[in-house]
Amino acid sequence: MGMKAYRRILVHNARGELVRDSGLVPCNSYVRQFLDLVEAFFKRVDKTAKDVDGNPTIIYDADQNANLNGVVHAGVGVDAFGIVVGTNAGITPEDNANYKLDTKILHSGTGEAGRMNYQQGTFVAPQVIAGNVDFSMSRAFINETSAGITIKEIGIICKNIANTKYHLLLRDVVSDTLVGVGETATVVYTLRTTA
Amino acid sequence: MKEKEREKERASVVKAMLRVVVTSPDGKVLSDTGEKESKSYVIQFLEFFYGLFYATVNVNATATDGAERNIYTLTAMLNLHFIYNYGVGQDIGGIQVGTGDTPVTNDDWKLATKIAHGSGAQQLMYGAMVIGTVAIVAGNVDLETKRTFTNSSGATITVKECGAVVVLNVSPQCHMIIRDVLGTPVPVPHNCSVTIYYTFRTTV
Repeated sequence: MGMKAYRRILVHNARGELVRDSGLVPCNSYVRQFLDLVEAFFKRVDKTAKDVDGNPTIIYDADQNANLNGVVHAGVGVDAFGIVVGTNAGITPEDNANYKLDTKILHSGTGEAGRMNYQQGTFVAPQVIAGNVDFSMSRAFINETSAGITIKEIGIICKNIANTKYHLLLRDVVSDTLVGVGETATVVYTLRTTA
Repeated sequence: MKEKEREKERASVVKAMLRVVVTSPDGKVLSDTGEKESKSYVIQFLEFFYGLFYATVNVNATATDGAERNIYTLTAMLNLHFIYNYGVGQDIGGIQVGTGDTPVTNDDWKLATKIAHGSGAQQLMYGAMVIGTVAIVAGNVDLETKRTFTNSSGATITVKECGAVVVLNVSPQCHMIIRDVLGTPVPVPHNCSVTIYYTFRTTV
């Protein structure tokens, strides 16, 4: 059955009321770098993969501590990694070889036009739920600008902290999701296996 | 779109494709299951990725001895984690085979009845793990892994299950990440070999 990935985007207004919910939607796209990372673990040797700048850089640094590689847990205001969102202005389709979002929405804590306020990622440990094993990650993005922002792509970027390198692991082009002024979009990724 | 309709959509999956090939001493293929989708990642697989992605806490998971042991340790070097590329005769990790056929569940933590390395009765000689390189093949991203087991026991051994075990080499602590019960048991005659392929595959 494999390890499936699902996504869900919820939009809440400033009063905390749910105004839009995509529901749980199958993802389309683990990208190549995910298996590059798995290969590195299996072989236990340094491994390079195409980073978000399009360069082959180290994704797995064998003699660094585990908590310095493959990290997705990004803090408040960090838009370089973790769950990220974009506008896909260039209309880039999903592809095995994707290595970055087409047009990532940047962080702003002061309401700069076209930006969103990136919150800290949250993680729920794997557990057996309704016959599946689910591992969920989520992150909220607040629109503090004076205009709506439409999310058209989402993804997960991991960080090699030891070397400050960033690699895309998943990317999905999503249905246009309008996040109105003062609204918050929460992106949830669920990785699922089923025996 | 309703939830049920969404569930019918193609989902991106990290598949593990399983193939079992039996060969004679002269290399003749005696049986070949062909490539089939493995049914069974077990919970330890996602528990490792939880540790890796979250990178905030040490993570325990049920080890192959049934005890809760670290599968991810924050301050242990990366190359001590998720070890899979074991050599000749090392049946502690990598691909393993067994004779059990108890149904797979999400929280299986070991093979039902692992076949140990050796040339005695009901033993197989474990070859070295072979791990390929990630490549885009026919529209998929593939990572092939395989291991060959040779029967020198003097009698036919029937393989009914196989799996993949990774090791955190800080004790060591062994964790199963995949277990499959073969649809049809696979007999491996004396002096013949069985090769188990697990190919990890993603497709956009």
